[in-house]
Amino acid sequence: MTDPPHPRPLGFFALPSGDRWYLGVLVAMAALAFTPWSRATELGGLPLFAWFMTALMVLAPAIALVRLIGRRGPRD
Amino acid sequence: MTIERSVTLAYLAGCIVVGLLASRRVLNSRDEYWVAGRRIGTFVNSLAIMAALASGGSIIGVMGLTYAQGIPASLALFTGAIIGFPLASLLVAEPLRRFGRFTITDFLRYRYPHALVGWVVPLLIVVSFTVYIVAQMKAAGITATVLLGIEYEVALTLATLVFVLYVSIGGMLAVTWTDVFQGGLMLLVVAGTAAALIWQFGTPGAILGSALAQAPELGTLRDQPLGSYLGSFVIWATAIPIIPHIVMRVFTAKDARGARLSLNIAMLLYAFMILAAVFAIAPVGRMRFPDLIDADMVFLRVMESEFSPLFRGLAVAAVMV
Repeated sequence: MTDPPHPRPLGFFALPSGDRWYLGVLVAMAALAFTPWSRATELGGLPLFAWFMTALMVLAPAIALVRLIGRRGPRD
Repeated sequence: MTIERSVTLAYLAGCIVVGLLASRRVLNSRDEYWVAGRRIGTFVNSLAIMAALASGGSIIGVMGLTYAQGIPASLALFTGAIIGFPLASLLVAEPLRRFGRFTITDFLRYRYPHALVGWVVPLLIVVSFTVYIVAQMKAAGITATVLLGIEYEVALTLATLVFVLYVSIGGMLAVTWTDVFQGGLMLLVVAGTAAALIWQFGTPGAILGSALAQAPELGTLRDQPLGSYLGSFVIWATAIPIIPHIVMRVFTAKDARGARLSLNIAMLLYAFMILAAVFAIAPVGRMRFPDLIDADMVFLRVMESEFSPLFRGLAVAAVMV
């Protein structure tokens, strides 16, 4: 089996801009969840932290899936 | 022999049969043995990925953690795990799938050509996964002990022997087939349990309200450092893109796009299971069994008290191997 071309080291910003935005939103939402305000404020008997985590749990893969399905291009 | 034992033994025997059937195809093919021929379809791979992560440790553990530490602690850890999959999809899936070899060690040796990598990486994987597997084996052991009345050591030994046998003779093809079946079974068991409890006790909102009224600490962030919640979130979010038994699924996909789709579909399925466990099953368990010494027993106690022997047998099969 022949080796593939040696991978060119890629910087972080080699990601497509849409993927960078997506990662940024995930990080921002996670950061918001861990703020003192989110941990101290309650809704329905649970801290907002719990609701942010629940939303992240569902939205992260769902949005990634929608973006992937809508993307055109080579499969491999 | 009880119904539960019959169902469980039938499932274990089925795993061995799958291993034997797969062994015929993998005998003369490295691709078939190590990466299931690199032609696993998207949805099949999704179930397999979900099953690879949603082990007995997940099913038993998520409810035990919710019972002992509260809903927020559980969500912190498992949301981290789920976030890890889109990260894997973006950062890891494409280069690994295009690489076209068999293992993560292969990839790291190629990317960082140094003799030490070939030794250090497998050693790290073996050491860290020995610790990881302890949780899975404990789940198998206590499930069989509680629901089947089998001694803990016997259950552990049986589950280990069956697992080692069908994996070693059938390779990744056998693992894929059994994972697909087990993934479907886990979904059935968790969704069925949650649905039955919702039917009996009311909507998830009503269940949560009743559980929090009885045990308000279920909904609180415990008096623990922020680092404990943040740490479990970050550890799992960063571990998932590199965990071998998940990442190996990338190698089995038909192509890079299929690999990325599978990862995200798997996580939606996993998220559904976790939310059913955290917001329906664990709260009912907390209400019904408020004084459990071992929190990991909550799911098993709920199964014992609310469900038929057939369903309990399916639950054991879903958790054991």
